[in-house]
This record gives sequence, C-alpha cells and structure tokens, in this order.
Amino acid sequence: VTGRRLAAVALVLLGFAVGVVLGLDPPGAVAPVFSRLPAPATPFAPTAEVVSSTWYCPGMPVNGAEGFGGEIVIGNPGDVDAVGEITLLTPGQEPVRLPVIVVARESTVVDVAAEVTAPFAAAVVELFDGRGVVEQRAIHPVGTAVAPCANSTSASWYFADGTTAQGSVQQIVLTNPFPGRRGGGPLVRHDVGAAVAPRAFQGLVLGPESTTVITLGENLAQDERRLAVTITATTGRFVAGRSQHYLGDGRLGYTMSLGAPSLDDQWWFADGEIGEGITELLVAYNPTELEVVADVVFLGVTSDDGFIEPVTLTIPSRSVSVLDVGALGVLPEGRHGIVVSTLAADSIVVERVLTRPAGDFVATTVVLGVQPGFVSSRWHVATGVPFALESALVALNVTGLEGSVTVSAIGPGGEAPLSGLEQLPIPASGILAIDLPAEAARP
Amino acid sequence: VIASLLALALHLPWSLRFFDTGGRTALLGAPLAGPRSEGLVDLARFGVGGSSFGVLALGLYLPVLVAPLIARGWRFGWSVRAGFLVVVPGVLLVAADRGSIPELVSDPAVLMAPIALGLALSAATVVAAFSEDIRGSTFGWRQPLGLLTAIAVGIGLLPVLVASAGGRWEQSETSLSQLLAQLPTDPAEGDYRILHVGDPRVLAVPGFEYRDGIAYALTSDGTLTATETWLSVASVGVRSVADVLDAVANDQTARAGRALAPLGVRFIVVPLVDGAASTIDDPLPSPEGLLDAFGDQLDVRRRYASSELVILENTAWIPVRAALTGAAADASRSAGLDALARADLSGATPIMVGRTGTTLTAAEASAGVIHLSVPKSDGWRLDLDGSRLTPRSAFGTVTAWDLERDGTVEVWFETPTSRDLVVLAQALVWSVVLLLSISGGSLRWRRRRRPDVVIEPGSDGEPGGPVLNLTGRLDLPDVAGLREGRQGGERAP
Repeated sequence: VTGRRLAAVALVLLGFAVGVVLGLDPPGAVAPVFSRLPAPATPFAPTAEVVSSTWYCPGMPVNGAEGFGGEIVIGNPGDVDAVGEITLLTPGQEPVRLPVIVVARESTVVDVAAEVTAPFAAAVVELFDGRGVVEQRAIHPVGTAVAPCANSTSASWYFADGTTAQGSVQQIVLTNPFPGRRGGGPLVRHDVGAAVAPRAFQGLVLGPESTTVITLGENLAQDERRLAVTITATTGRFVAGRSQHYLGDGRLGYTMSLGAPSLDDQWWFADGEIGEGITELLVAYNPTELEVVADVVFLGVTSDDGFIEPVTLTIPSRSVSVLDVGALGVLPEGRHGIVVSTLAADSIVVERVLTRPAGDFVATTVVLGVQPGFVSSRWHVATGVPFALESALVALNVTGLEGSVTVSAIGPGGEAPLSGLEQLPIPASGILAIDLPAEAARP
Repeated sequence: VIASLLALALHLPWSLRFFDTGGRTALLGAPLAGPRSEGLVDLARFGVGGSSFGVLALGLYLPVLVAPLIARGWRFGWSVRAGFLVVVPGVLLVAADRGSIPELVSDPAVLMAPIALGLALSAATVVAAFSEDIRGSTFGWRQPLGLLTAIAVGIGLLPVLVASAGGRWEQSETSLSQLLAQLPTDPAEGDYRILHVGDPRVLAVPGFEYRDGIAYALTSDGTLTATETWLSVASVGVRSVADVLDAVANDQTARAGRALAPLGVRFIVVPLVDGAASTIDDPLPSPEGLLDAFGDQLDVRRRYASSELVILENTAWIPVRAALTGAAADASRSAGLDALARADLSGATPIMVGRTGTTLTAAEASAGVIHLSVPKSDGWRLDLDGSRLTPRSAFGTVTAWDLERDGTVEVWFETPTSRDLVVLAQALVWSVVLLLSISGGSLRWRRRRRPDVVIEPGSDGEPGGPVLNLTGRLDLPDVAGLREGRQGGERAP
C-alpha cells in the first residue's frame, strides 16, 4: 500500500469522522411561529396600527317587550371619521349588517332593538378607520347594565359570580361571530364546591354567526346561591356574556356583563365601598385542579393603627370562595380599592358584587376585575353620564407614588380638560372619586 | 464554476430570477424555522426504507473506503474523486442538518445528489478494480476485501430494491394531492385559487418564503399538475398575500377573506402531514398560531380538518374571472388592505368558467366591471363587441376593464414580441452549443484515429521498416529511439 493510497484513505476517513462527530446529538426540531399573540384578556382601547379593529358585544335583551332593549355605544376619540360595520347576531335568525360612521371626536349610539327582535342580540362591531371604543347597554325593566365589548374571542370563558336563588335568573349568552360552526361543543360547568358538567350542554354546537342562550335556574341549577360557570369550546373561539336578573337573596336588579376570557393571578378593583346598607362581596373562582391561596389587599384606606392587614382567601379546586368585605370589620366606611393576587399563575377569576340601597330597594352591580397587564394611565369611557353625578368616576393609583388625574371631554375641538377636573391629586396607592359636572353630561 | 456560469448565461434572461427577490427560495427552497435534525443515519441512508431495515443502506459507503486501497491506475484516481464527492458534500449536509449552515438547510437533496454520485462511482470503481486489478493477481488482502465490499454493496441496495418494488418508494397511499381532489374543479360558482400555507416541507407545491419555516403558494382549482412543481416568479398579487398574512399574524384585521378575494382565493390549505417529510407517526410541528389566527377571521370558515391537512374556506371570495356590479364594482377601484377590509364584495358573477391559460373565450357581460385576478399587464386584451378596452388596476393588484354597456367580451393575452425574440435567440444559442458539442465530439473521434505514437525500430535514423500505430494511453519505459507523435502523451482510459 503506497503512501498516496494511505493519504487518500486517511482523508476520506477524516471526512467520515468529521461527519459523524457533527452528526452526533443533533439539535431538536424547531416549530415555525406564524403568530404568537397574548391571551385574550380585559378589553382595551387599541393603540397599535391596525387594518380594522373588531369588538364583540356579549348580548342585549331585545325581545320586543316593554322595557327591554339594547344599544351599542361607539366612541371615536380620534381625528378621523371611523367607518364601520355592525353585525347583529341572534338565535336562529340571519345576521343583520348595518353600516356605521362615527364622526371624529364624537360618539354614536345604535338602537339594536330597532333592528332585530330576539331573546338576545349580540353584536360584532368593526371599525375600519380611526380608533374607537365600544360598549353596550343592556336595557331591562329593572335597570340598564353597561358593559364593555371584548377585543377578542376566546376558547374559554369564566364567570365567578352568579345565582339562581329565590327565582333569580341567570342566562349565559354564547355568541359565535364566525362563519363556521364552533364547538364540538362548549362545556358548561357550575361549581358549588364540586364540579358538575350538565350532560345537556356537552357537545353543544354553536351555529355560524348566531347566538345561543343557556338559561340557568329553570331546569338546570335551580335555587343555587353561588353559581360559577366555565364554558370551554373544544374547537374554535367564541364570546360569552352573562345576563343576571336578581330577585332575592339580598340582591335586586339586572346585570349583563362580559365573562373573563382567561384566568389570571391578579385582579384589580378601583372601587369598593363600605357603608350603611351596602353589601360588598368578593367572589373568587378557581376552576383549576389545585387549591389556590390568594391575598386580598385593600388600597386607599387606613385603619386606626395605620395599616390594614391583607386577608388570606383560600379557594378550593373547582370552587368559589366568597369574601364579605363589610363583615371583616376592619375597613372604615367609604370607598376603597382592592387587589386580589396569588402566586398560582393563571388560576383565578374574581368579581366584585356591590349591593347598594336605591330608594326603597337595593341595586346590585357586578364588576369583573382588571387583569394586571391592563392597568393603565389612560382610560376611555364611551358611555357618558346623562346628568351631573357624584362619584361618577373612581380612579385607583396602583403605584407607590403620588400622582394626578385629569378628566377630559372629547368634542369637535378635540380633547379638552374639564374645568375643575385638571391635575386632581391622587395619593400613592390611593383612590379618587370624581364628580362629573353638568358640562360633562350628555343626555 | 465556469460550467455553472456558462449554464447561467445560456438560460438568460430566465436565470436572472435567481438573483431577484425569492431567487434563493427558487434555488434551494424556502428556509426552515430551524435545523432539520434528520440525524446522521437517516441522511446517510437517504431516508430510504424503515429506520431499522434502511440502515443496511450504510453498506454502500464501504466502497468509498475500500476503492482507494484496491484500485490501481486510472481507477485509483476515480476512487479518490468519488471519495471526495461523498465526503465533502456529506460533511456540509450534516453541518446543514444541525443548522450550522442555515443557507443549506432547506433541501438536503441538493447535497445528496453528489453523494449518491460518489457512492455509485466508488462502487463502480471497486467492481472495475476487482475485475482489472485483483482478479488473477496473487492472493492477498485485496481479494477478500474486494469480495466483502461487493457483498456490502449488494446488501446496501436491498432497502432500495424493497422500497422500489411496489413502485411507491414507501410513500403514503394517500397523498395531499389526493386529499385536495375533494375540492371542486371548474365549479359553476366560478374558478378559484387555493392558498397553500405551512411548513415548506409539506406544501403540495413549491412555496414562496413567508418567514422562516412558513411558505405559501397559490394554485388554481383542479388537479395539481407538473406545472405547479415549478416555482413561478412572485408577482404583485402573490407578494400581496404576504401582506395579508402579516395582517392576520399580527391581529391587525379580522377580514383576511376580503383581503384575499381579489386574487380569487377561495380555499386556504394548511398541510400538516404529507406522508413523506411529515408522517402520522412522526409529524412535523405545525406553524404555531396559524390555524388560530385564521380561525379568528370573520370571513374564513373551516371546511375540512384531518390529521393530514386543514382546509379553510373564504366566504368573501370572488371568482378568478368575474363580472362585477354594484358594490363589488365600486370596491374594485380601491386599493390596499384598509380598503379591502371594508369592501362589500357582493355582486360578482363568474364568467368563462373552466378556461385556463392565456386564451380565453368570449362571454356575455353586463355593464360593470370585468375582473381578472391576474396582475395588471399590457399583454391582456379585452374586446367589447370588437372594440378594444383599456385595462386598469383593480384592488391594487389585479386587472379589470370598465364596461359601460352590455355586450360580448373577448379576453386573451397577447405575448409580447420581445419575448418571442428572446426565445428565438435562446434557441439559436442552444443550437450553436449543440452543434459545437456534436462537432467537438466528432473532431475528437477523428483525432483518435491518428497515430498517437510512431515507433521506428532501429536508431540509426533510417526510415523504413515496420511502423506500429498505437492509440490510447501508452506506458513505456524511457527507451532510446522513441519519437513522439503529434498526439503523443494523451492519457485516456
């Protein structure tokens, strides 16, 4: 064997060796990423450049009966007229499409009841120019409930609070705004200590561009004081709202609100109140498989000794825990802010139920907390007040620094601070109740 | 390198596309999201045969090592060349497989071709060496080694023989093309296009790069043919698809269907398993968020879903060739994603259904707009009752003509003379190349019949006596009285 043969073989062998060494322990495959968007969460006013923005309103009772109705309020704080399209979705009817133009720095109210008659009508609002904020007003004989419309759909929706006690009616309005069927289907579960998955609602299919209404308290979950609901689609995404008519158990009135599109580990409330005849409940829902321990911290108030200890709230798996804030006896009368937080990531939903005296009766309101990524230094309110109103707005300073709040009205001339509502001081971790004057009212 | 440049020149102007946008994709395929990570053994066996049985193909590599040891003469030279043909691309292939050379990640077949050639040459060299250099020589280590190598080659071929026996090369019985056949062909509601989006390794046709690991392609309705296997030049229309995909991926619109409508896109196909690169047992990861993002579109619905692919349908599509009236006609005068998102596309009537290519037939049309979802080009002609109309850009990407009255329209594409001239020039150049090639071979054939070496016996300088003409290579000792012929010294096998 000559030297050149050995050299040739050695080179080839060397090549093989390099190949083998390189080929050992290859890295794992990498999945391509088309889109990685944040999970659906608290509705917000988008500021990013978009081709079109879409809002999903959970539903309004437009059954044609006296006292019932619904309105969509679209505010356009921008400098360009917003051209849009509203699609009204109802159970078993063809979608109704309406063009809409919202003049710059103005708001528009669309009377849904004038367009459709149905047990509930949900709406999809698309804005193609300018930026806007969209809210809905669900009009009921016992009151009008204002709720923000969602920025996005979700595969799961959660409602922490709910009741069918003493004849109260809870209805879940499920909306599929898409042209294809959704489901395979949503699973409804009402949790009162133990999970129950009603067979009637397994495999439920949501028809394209329609709404489906599930009434609790008739044949299902009768006379339940606490009723939390999880709705999960096996395929696709949808929108869920909760219509609640309170008829007893210390509650009266009507609410229509959007569900929580995701779980979180922190929920903020700007407004809570302790006072004569006022009942304030924090309802925390844990639909996960593990028990969750959460801290409830009260903000904007101090006790006699200067500090209010956080309250620990234990929420068993697939269950609801209720904290009667007034019964704690540690908070002074007046308003306060609240933050409920836990170390268990994406585990709970918290709603605050406030029942206040209203004339000879009481009125109950329910508010879903704001998720931590959505505390903001700028807020838009599409629905104004019809007359001067005390404590119409409540701001909570989530920082440890003093700040100030300015309330502006948006009119033809643009954004202008309201007289007397400029640079209002707000203490660190404090709250500020703001009275809206008559000039801010819009009948 | 010179040959490559020559080939590039001979294919002008078409070869210039490799230097244009998307040229790299046309040459090497769309890039992947990360390393292929096929693994050394899978690459070495060319992915043929089951993982356990296919390992026998590694026997084909033994000749690469053995050939330089047992070959002599010209066979040794070829064994070394074959070895380098295997080793150099092999190392590059393995490095590319683990992501060290991202530019070469896309398609391993590009580097497997020279490796396969090297293996074939090595095997041939061993056979030749066994026949010429070993057989009949004194028994030694070369005989058993040669025999062992021949056996290894035989065993190495077994996976190929088994895989090819059925004619399917172990490919899936059901191909993506077969699944796509469920989509209607030339439907009465109008011709349409299919947007394929997904991992470039599983797309039914070559795709344009969207982003790493995701490619897209447009095809027409009907059965996929060989013409779809060529990646065409990305037109304005095709490039606009990327803008729509961006808007969908970034949650900037819920009206992707309207945005794709001018291109005639009715179906969006997301392939998941093709039975070759991605199998049911070992699927490639599907692009994250792709189906969710399209699932959030208000004008796209899921038409079919299986483990192999998902087919979505655009409910706002308009036919490839259509007569537009009303809102759709007005909308065709606008351009851009913003305008498309709000466009009311109702009022599109299909025309010339089933017609493909550049020669279209006549059709009756009402006053309005004739919409043709191809990029605006001066070559497209439309006559309304014999009168030529001027085309305009529609939706910013495609072609339309405004008809002010009802009538019979004829639409066709008039190929520019310049293109015919270029084709003619190329044909001439190729003819010259062919002629040169033939004549060159003929010349070499004649020369080989001339005497290579003339040996004149005796060294006294006297002419005469027997003359011996030799052809081919001549290994002669340095003897006195030997005079070179004109072609002497040529070394040929």
